[in-house]
Amino acid sequence: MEIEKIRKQVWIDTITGKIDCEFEFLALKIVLSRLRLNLKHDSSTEAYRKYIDDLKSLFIRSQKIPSAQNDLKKIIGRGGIQ
Amino acid sequence: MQRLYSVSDVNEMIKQGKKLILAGEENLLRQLEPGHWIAGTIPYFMSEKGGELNSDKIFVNELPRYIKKIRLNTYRESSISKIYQDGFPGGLSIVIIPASSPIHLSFAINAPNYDNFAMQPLIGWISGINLNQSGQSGAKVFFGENNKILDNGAVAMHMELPQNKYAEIDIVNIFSQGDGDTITFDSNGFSVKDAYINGEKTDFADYIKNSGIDTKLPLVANYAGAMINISFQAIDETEKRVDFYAPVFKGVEYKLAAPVGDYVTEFTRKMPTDDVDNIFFSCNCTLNYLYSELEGKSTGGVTGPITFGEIAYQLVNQTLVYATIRDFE
Repeated sequence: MEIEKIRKQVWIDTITGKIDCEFEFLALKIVLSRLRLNLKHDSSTEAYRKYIDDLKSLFIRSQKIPSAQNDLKKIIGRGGIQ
Repeated sequence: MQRLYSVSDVNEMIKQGKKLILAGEENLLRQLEPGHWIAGTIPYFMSEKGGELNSDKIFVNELPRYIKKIRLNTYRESSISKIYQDGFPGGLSIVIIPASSPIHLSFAINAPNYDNFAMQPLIGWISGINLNQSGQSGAKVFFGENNKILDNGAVAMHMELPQNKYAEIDIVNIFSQGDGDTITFDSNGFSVKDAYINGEKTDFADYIKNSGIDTKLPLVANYAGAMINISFQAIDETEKRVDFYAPVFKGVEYKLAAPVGDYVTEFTRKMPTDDVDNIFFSCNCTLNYLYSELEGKSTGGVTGPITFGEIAYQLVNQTLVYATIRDFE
């Protein structure tokens, strides 16, 4: 499963906006925006763990949806996998 | 099937056991038989003729036959936080909430913090009233299973999709961020007194007046590439208060929208034409209907209610939202 192979740092870089692609999947844009907002208020290690879990959870639930697949490819393309 | 029908036609569909999402005037919805339907009050529609005010007919979204299993729920303020958890895995949920009710305000502000927020497709709309009859009966939603009428509750239809199909929600927003000041706020809410203009605390009502801002243009935030609007409702210069149709959020950077030329042209340009046949449900905003004078004008062949707020995972404004159902390739 590609999602599980993605390095933690790639998820972090996606949340912080360091990896910033032109995404297609509306749910991803909205979740990502919310996580970036939450990050301004809480950037603790525990909070990061939850943000990563939320993002991974969205991709796991949506992994068969083409726009989510395309966005995941963009993230992997920028960040690589293990 | 998405179009306007008479009350008797809708009752016939209900008797046939069809699963329906409905929109119409309160006096029409009160005449419906109990059945597998939810509804909200509104007299404005995007019909096949274009935008129209219609107090005689009910807009019907009939669920396709391949949707076998649905769950109809009502929610109160105390339970609306569960809405993202109640959908079927891989399914689609539609919610209707009455305008200006406490549950509307609560959902608008708190939804992004609910468990499972945006993890499942949730689309919906805010029910309303005929704007020429404001002050009379307020917005309501209807729970068809027992004809329950709510003015401070939400109704939802959770749908299970066949394994070979998926639902996706998207928006068409003709507005984009202008190149003016960056505007932020220090709290979440539908009303503000102060804003931070490029970081400097400013009386927002004065700022709008002194800058000559056209409040028909919304504030626009960039949500990782999705343009999300906050529409102006009123400016009280005595109270120095600015009211919105959706809440602003602390920490989000807003800009006034860039001016739009011809709405219909712009809308048609942005509408993904290859998606229209797959659209299962859509709704557009009353403000677009009013400000852009959409009466009698078709917007890309898309039909549905014209509403007091749109829900694409969360509340949005001045936006067309739509859900498509497609086969996995």
